[in-house]
Amino acid sequence: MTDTISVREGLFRETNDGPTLLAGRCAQCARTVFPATERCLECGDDSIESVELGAEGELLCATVVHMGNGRFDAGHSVGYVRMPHDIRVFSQITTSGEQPLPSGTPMRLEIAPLWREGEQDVLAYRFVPTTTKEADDA
Amino acid sequence: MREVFVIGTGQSDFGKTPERSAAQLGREAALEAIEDAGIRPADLQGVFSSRVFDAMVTSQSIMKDIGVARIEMVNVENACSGGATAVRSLYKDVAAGFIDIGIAIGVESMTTSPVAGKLIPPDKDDLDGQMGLTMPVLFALQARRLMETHGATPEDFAQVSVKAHDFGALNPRAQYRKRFTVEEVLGSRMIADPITLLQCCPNTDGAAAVVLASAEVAQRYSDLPIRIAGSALVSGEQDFRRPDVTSMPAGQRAAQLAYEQAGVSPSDVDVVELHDAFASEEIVHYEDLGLCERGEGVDLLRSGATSLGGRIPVNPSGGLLSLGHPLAASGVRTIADITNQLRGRAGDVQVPDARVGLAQMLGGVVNGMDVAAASVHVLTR
Ligand SMILES: [Zn+2]
Repeated sequence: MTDTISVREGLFRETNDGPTLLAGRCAQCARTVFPATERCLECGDDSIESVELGAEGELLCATVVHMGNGRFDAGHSVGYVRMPHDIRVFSQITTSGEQPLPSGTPMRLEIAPLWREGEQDVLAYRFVPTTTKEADDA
Repeated sequence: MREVFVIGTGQSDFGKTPERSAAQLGREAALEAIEDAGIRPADLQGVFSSRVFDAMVTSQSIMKDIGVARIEMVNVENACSGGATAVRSLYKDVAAGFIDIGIAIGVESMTTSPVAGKLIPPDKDDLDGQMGLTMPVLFALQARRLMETHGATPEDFAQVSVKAHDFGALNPRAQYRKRFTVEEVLGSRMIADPITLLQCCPNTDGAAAVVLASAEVAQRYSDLPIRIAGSALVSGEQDFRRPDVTSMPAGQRAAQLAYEQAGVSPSDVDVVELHDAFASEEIVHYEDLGLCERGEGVDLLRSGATSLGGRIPVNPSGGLLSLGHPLAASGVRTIADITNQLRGRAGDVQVPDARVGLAQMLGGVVNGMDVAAASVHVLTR
C-alpha cells in the first residue's frame, strides 16, 4: 500500500457530488479567498468559515511548459481557472493538446496524486477540460 | 527633506564570471563610482548594499578592501528590487540629513549561487510555486492573456527582444552583444508558450553602484549632478485584489508615487530603463508606467516609439534581456544608466538631450501576491 499525503491540509475534499475546492469565507465582511487563511485578509476578523467552491470552473489562460522541473515533465500544461466567488486558481491542466487551451474553456476539478515525495504520493488538485473535443482541436 | 543627487556611477562587466567573487564584482563597481564622483573612499558616510543569494555583510565585504570601515553599513534584500531598495534607503538617509554622502551597491554572483543553472525554487509554503508556478510560467500566462485581450502576437514579444539586443550590441558592458531577427527569436527553444529562450533574460554575474550626495556636497564635486526627483518603493498586494493579470498594480502605484513627488507627468519622460526579465512584460510596463493609455501597449511598441530615435526609448542599455540580470545589481544598474543618459554620456545609445529619465525595477513573486516589491525612481537633469 502506498502512503498518500496532501500537498496541504484543507484545500479540497471529496463529496457525494464529487471533489470540491475549499475556500475560506469571512463571516464579518464576506471576503472569500483560496487557499483559506486563519484571519480575513480584508478586515482582519478571525471568524472564517469553510466554503465549497465546487468542481466547475472556466479557463482564464493557459500555457504549455516545455521544461521539466523535477516534479512535472516537459510538455505539461498549467493555467489560471476562474471559480465562483471571483476566485482565480493556479493549477496543472490535463490535456493532450500541444497548444495552450483557449480562454473560456470549461474545466472540471480532479483530485489526483501529482508527484511523489520519498515513498509517498502527494495528492493535489488539477483541472481537466470538460469537452475533450476542445482539447484536441486546440 | 533635502534634495539628493547622483554624482557618480559604476558598473562591472556583466557576464558569467564564476572565478570572481561577489565582493570583487562589487568592489569594481564601487571603485568606478567613487572615482567618477571625484571623491575619496574615506569621504563616504554610509553604505547600502544588496545581494539576494548567499548574502551576508555584503557592504563590509566589498568596502573593507577599499579602505572604508567604521561607518554605518546596511545590507538589504528585496529580490530583484534589492538594488533599487538600497538606493532608496541611501536616498532617505541623505534626504533626511543623517548623512551628506554615501554609496549604494547591488551585486550578484549567479554562477556561484545555489541556483546556478536552475530555476529559482519555490518556498516550502508557496502553494502556487509547489504546483508549478515558476517565473517563466507566470510571465507566459500574462503573455497569453495579452494575446487575447490586447491583440499581441508572438512576433510583438519577439520584437521586444530584437530591440533589446540591437541596443545591447552597442553596450560594452552587456553579456550578449549580438543582434537577432524576429525569426531567430521565435525559432529559439520554446520555454513556456509563447515565451522562447531568446525572450528570457540570462542569469548573470555583475555589480553596479551609485554615489548619492546632498546638494551642497554635490555642487562641490560634480559639474552635472543628477537629481533624484522622485523615489518610490511599494510592496505588492493580495492577488485577489488584482482584477487583471495584464497589469502589475505594484509597478503602477510605485510609478504614480514617483511621478507625484517629482512633479512630472509620464509624457515628460525622455528615457526609461525597466524590468524586462521576459520580453512580453515590457508591454505591460508601458501601460503601468503611463507611457501610453491602458490597452495601447502593443500599439506603442509597434509604432517604434520605444526604440532609439522614438518618442520614449525604453531600455537603451539593452535591458535585462541582453545585458543579463544579476538580480540585486539590476536595480542599481538601471539608475546608473539613466544617470548616464541625463549626463549625456551614454555613448552609442545616447537619447539626444534627455532631461527626465525613469528607472523601474520589480522583484520577487510570493504566493498570492502580484509581485513582492516594485520601485520607481524619476531622475532629472
Ligand atoms: Zn473580513
